[in-house]
Amino acid sequence: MRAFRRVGDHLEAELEEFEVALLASLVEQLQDILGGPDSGQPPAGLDAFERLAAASATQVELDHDDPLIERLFPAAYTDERDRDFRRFTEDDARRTRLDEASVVLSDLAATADGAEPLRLADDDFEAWVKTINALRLSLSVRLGITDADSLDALQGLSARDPRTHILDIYDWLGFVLESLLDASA
Amino acid sequence: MCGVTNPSSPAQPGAGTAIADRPAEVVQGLKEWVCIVWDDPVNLMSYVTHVFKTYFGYPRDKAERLMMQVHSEGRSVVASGSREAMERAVSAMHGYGLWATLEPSE
Repeated sequence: MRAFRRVGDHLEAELEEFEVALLASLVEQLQDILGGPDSGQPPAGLDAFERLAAASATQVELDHDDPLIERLFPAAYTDERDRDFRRFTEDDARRTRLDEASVVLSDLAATADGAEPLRLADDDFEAWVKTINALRLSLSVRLGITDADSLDALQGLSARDPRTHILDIYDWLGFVLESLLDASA
Repeated sequence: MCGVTNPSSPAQPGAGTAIADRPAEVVQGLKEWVCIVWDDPVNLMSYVTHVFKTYFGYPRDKAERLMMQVHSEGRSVVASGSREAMERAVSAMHGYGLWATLEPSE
């Protein structure tokens, strides 16, 4: 991948076909964990009642036994007040994450499998950094990174260790995120 | 704000007694809350700085200082305000993938 740079009113980067496919695949997996791509925010243009009906039709209960869900939707209070907090905020947070993921997929699709540069409108920037970061979090959970020690333990992996491949992608996503932040500064 | 009675210096003699009899929850509502961001081994320093600049509107040096405090001390108070505002801030931090909690400021 060639690093992001500003080109007029948007950011641009060149990605290889396999990089586009990899990112799209990771984002789709994230959407699945979050309840599927069709359970995001209800479409615009609905009246209040239609919105409520659409939202309740796509209500999803997140599995808090999944460490990734716990990491993406952590506690806000350290006591029983957290139950109410989650009840009122979690679904909206989930839907917002899905919508952000859709923005990323849409921009990736526009590259025609890497034939075209990846172009990010400024309005899409926050959706991108949040989603790339969520992908890093998701891989960190798969790699068992819970603290500095567990992160250090991954540095000496042998090439045959299956985690090496995931760690490579994790590092690459860090590069993508840094590149985005550098280009927007 | 001038001209406004406050519980510790009531405008009328004896008015303080009525205030002292208020239920605890009403007094609690006047308390400030704080938003705390906790360190984690995944989030990039540049990303955390970006979040503090973007969401709170902090200038770069303040955002970096808070980020370094999270990084070196394990946690930092990044904002204070009403409970509602701090709940919104914590939600926003979670939306960015940071871990944050809120508590009454002591």
